[in-house]
Amino acid sequence: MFGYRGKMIRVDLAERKIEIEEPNVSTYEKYIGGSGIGAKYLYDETCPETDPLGPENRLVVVTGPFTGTAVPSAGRHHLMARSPLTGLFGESNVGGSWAVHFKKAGYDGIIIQGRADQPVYLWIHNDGVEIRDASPVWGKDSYDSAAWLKDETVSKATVAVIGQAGERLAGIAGIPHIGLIVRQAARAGLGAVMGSKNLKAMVSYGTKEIPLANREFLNQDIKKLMPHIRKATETFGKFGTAGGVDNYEKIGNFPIQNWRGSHWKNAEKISGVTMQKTILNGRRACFGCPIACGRHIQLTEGPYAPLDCAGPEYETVGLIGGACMIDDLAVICKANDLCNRYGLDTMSTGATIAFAMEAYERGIFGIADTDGIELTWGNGPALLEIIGKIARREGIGDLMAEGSRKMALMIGEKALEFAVHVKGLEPSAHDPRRFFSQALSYATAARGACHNASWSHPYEMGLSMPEIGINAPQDPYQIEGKAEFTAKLQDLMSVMDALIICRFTQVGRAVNINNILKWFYFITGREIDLETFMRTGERIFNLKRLYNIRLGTSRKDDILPPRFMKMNRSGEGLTNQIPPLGRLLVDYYSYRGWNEDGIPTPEKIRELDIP
Amino acid sequence: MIVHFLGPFELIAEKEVQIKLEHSITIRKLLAILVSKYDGMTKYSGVKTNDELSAHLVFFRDGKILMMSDIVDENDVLQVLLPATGG
Repeated sequence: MFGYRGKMIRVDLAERKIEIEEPNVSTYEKYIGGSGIGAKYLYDETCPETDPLGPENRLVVVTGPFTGTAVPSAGRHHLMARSPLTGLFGESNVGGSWAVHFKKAGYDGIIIQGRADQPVYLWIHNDGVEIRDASPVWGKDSYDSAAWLKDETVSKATVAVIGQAGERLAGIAGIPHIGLIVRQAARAGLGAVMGSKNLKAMVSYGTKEIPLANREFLNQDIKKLMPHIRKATETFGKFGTAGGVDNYEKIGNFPIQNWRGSHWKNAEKISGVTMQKTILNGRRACFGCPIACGRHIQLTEGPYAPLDCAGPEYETVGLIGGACMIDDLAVICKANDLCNRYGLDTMSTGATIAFAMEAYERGIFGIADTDGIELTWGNGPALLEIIGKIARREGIGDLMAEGSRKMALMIGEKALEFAVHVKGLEPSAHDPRRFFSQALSYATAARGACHNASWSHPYEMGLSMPEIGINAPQDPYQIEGKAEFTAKLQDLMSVMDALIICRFTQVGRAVNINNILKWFYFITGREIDLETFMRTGERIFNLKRLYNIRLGTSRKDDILPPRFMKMNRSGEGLTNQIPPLGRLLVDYYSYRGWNEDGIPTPEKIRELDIP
Repeated sequence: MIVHFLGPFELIAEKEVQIKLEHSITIRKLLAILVSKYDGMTKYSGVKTNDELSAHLVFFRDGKILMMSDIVDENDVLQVLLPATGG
């Protein structure tokens, strides 16, 4: 098989057993890789009785056929488990260099089960896979741990490692990846799944060439397209993801004061443009990525100096900055660094703190409950202190470590009104009142309020994808046709997460579907048409849906929080924004071939040949 | 018409410039005028489609992102911003 290794590692930590499995060719054909193959394993091997933090849960990590090739922005992998945060299908997609080393070591993916009797790490390299003792770094942060792990293995290795938050089973713990660049598989509490297995890290380093059907054609084609890719993504790369802060604030997409604010002039102070003008100390790229949207910042003065580390992304600036009203970029950078060290999702962390700030403001709890911390809007030192408490699960941090839904359930009914989450996952920094496709996507994505499930808002702002019938950007508030528009983009993103290629290659139509189909052929030797390609995305999306249906979810769970459904913000350019979710869902279920309760019909399941 | 250049576009022109229009024009035409008027805008002379526009700059009016074929007139106040894709 070209483009693949044909091998999956299965590790049983309880038995300290490592086996190599060879999936059927048909599995690769039906699900391609990444999120597709991973979803299939998770569906087959877990069940409603599976405790997300129990040994029977699986952590499934899969690369795709594009991983480690010359395809731009494809040094990525997809991680999946039943989520301790939502209780549902949990997934996180991450870039960097870990996946490339892993695949070059000789494997497509890994399934981890059981619980080790002491802290361990996995060392995956050209000559095999080893379970090794991680006791010396248990309790250490991700950076210190990564340094030790590289000393123990290879200095050029990439380390996927949890910090203290994952060890302490925080529902909002992610998995920092430390290699060429620092990236985090942040969402859905997968760091806690690693912690529950006593698995501190997965270290990968590989150098073996991946067999491709036609390497020469692939490389030539990409070389030809590269000037266009560089030009189309030039502005995006220059200012990074946080370059969008000013714009998003203007149009009402930026989360302000736990999503209740309209406009906030101070957003300018924390934008990617300000970052670029003040503290940026270089750009960073994932493996083989010409965009280089990663930031590296340096603080040389002020209370948080010296600080020389990965800079915050848009989502971090939105949820730690805007949602908590923190207008000091230095505080946001420090918070970002702390989250990377402790292994906390900056989005869920920021959103949960914003929720707690509102609860504090409303007097639902007071200073006696926060160990003397004044949890007021814009209080940077308080925010930083709370992050440490969350990671260590100290005092109120113990409750906050479980995210805003569980925290709201604990502190009382009144708090449910302003706990902003879908299915337990806090939204990314995109407001569904500004983009109705985002409303639909948040309501229906398997992992909860995830903008990446459709990544549709750019297609409501200027982008087109004529290959799938999106000939022009759709009006964000348009209702007619919104369901089809959103579902198509969800299917497209699902198959892109199987290949795997970064969404940012779509900026300015740098890469289009025809490019992807051609590259897929050059890599695998398998020619697929557009219909098969999109059908694969639909299959993957539906399989994740079935996973959640099996856990008891249905139409009743496809909801948005009261803040998005009841609070119509006011201000320039902000009118009439409450998403007509009921109507949108009726259209959406109908387009998807699901029944009125949001469950895929037997005909649809047969048509897609799942599970 | 008043055009506000925000963020990094402040370096291209003054923060607020006036463009005299005798009749309504499209964003495509307005972009061409700005390109001819300001040296810093010449790099956008190749922007012809909505996809390209969305990758480089955003024209914004009253809460609405404008596309290449959208019409603007003498009484409009526009903002020119960085594009936005987020994380």
